[in-house]
Amino acid sequence: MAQQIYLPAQVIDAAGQSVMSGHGTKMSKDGKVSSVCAGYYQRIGSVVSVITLRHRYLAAQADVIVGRIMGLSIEDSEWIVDIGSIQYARLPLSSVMEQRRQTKKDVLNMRSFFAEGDLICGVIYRAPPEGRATIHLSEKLPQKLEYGTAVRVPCTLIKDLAEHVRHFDFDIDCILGRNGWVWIAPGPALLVGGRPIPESFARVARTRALIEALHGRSCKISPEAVSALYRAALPYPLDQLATEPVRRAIFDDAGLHPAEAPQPTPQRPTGATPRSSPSGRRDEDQIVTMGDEDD
Amino acid sequence: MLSAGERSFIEDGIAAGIRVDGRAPFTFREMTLEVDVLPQANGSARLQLGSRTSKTNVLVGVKAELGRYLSKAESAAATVEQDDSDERPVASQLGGRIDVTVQCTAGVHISDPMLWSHSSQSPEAVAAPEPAATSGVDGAADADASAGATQLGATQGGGEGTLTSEETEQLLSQRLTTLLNTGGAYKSLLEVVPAQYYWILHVDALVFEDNGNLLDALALATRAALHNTRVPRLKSTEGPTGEAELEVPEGTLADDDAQNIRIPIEPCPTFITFNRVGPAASGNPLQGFIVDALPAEERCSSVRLCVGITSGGVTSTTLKEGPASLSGQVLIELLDRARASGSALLGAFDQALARLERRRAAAVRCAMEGSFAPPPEEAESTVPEGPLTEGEEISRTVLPLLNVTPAAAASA
Repeated sequence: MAQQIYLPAQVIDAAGQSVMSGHGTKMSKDGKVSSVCAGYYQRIGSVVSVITLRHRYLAAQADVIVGRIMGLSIEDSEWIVDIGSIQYARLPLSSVMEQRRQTKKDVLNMRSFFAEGDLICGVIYRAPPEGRATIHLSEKLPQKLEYGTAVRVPCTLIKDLAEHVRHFDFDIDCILGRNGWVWIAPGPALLVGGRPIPESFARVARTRALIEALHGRSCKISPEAVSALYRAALPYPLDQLATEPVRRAIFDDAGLHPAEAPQPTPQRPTGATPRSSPSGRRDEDQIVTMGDEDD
Repeated sequence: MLSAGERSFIEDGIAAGIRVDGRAPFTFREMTLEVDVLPQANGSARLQLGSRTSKTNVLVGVKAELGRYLSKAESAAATVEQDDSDERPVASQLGGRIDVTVQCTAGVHISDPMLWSHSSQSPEAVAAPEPAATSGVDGAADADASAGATQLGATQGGGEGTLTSEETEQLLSQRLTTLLNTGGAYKSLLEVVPAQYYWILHVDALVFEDNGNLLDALALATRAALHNTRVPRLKSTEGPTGEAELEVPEGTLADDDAQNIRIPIEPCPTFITFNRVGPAASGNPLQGFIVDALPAEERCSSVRLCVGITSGGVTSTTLKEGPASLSGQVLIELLDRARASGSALLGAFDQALARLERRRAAAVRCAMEGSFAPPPEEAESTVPEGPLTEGEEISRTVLPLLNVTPAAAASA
């Protein structure tokens, strides 16, 4: 399926249907929608967007994301979370206190749950086109991310997966946030009695270096690609993984090339809430032309 | 910003000798060095520290200006008239020197918390607004959106600085100027006519990206730019008043090194920055120290020592920063080891500079002879070219990861 590219100031042909202008477009006085940037055409329902190759994360419902608490608002009893999007998102206190009603004391003690700087993993519950997204925590997902490291890659390199939380067989837990934030932590076997064994740092460092290598080559960061690269990277010294010759050797060994990085088959995410808001995506009936998910 | 869990992970890793990117504590990242990048400058260099996706990227240009000491008559006069004509050099009593100015391009996020503006402004005023106010969806790709929460209540640690401020630029400029001029080595080396004329080298450094270890990167790039700097060899004749008059010799070619003088870099120091991450250990004074810190590691650093060191192992300046203290024993040990590490670093760096210089000289010879043969291949082979690789070129070289562990360096 050819992907249509629009240039800045190009008028988008709506074939007579009435459309609303989404990201990367604007509507002129006479109702014509034109592009304001250079990118791919995307239409969901009646909302027409032009999505550039590199862009900030655009929140969408049911996306699993990793975010950092930037602050909190006691008046609104919610945390403000940076998810790498145009605006910060909000995490209401009610999503944490599911079992009991929140009291004033709980509100004042919000910092005992999450303080500034903490990393959390959550699901986008609501993503209005203008305005802040709302995050909810899920019991199925890890909530506060404690011991490990985070790395940021462009969100376009992380596609929708069935499971964003992955446990690799080399005992590393990864959360591939849809917003491009990836959390890497040692798995349970590496944490003996609560303390990490020295090997865990090497494995986390290797995983992190390989994710950055995929980023450097603009490859999709999928669990299959990471596994394949990890196996291929074991013979090489750990600190050389950031250098070009070693990266090239590892990619060759793993059989990965930029256009051929193994792709997961597109699936609907599990546990998705029904989406009726205009910013909901992946309803295939309504999609006329999508980005690049048909690899 | 860093969570407590991330911080302990980094500290524990360094205690075990493995950093988050897999390096050993005293290993520098891969450096890509390019010279001759600004044709209109007397010398220029560009240094990238790190991999393609996350690097500290600086560009340094050097321009030479002629200065002259005030004559007896002028210093006796109550005021010195400002001379607007371009012909007479700047007059002052300062003498030969190197003048560094650092600027950060728009959008650079200085990663080092100790360099952030410590102005007395309130956190709300210092913190940058949310991304929505500044860029759109097709604006900056994954630019770090961290900012102190403005209207959302006090932040931990009182207002993190974000985008660079003039104070940060001035701080960096001042440190580099002090580094290069301390000891007065260049004051005599830059003299054209003793007690009369001298060169002032204006170093302009531009920071494109900061992913840790900015000060070291700036110092090394400045060293490379100075190595690349050529000033014309001026001829001086006795003038009618007894003072020397200078002229540029006939037929000076920009590339003909017989007519140019190169700036020596033996006396040029570089900074090597040691950050301590994690607690100090009584048994090992160097416990927890790392070089070439990443942004996350800089945030975990409790104390830092920047040592200005020459290739001959002379310590020229030291700078201690950070809330924690350095015990006397640690300080002495660290300075000792800094000399060994600095020599190793500069040894490898100068070899890379020599490599670039040989290629340049060969290219110039080819150009002058009118032949178009490529410069001869180096014995130590370059990185093999690939479709996605930033390979080596005539004016660019890649330094591999450099381990400057004090023990290893001392025994080398």
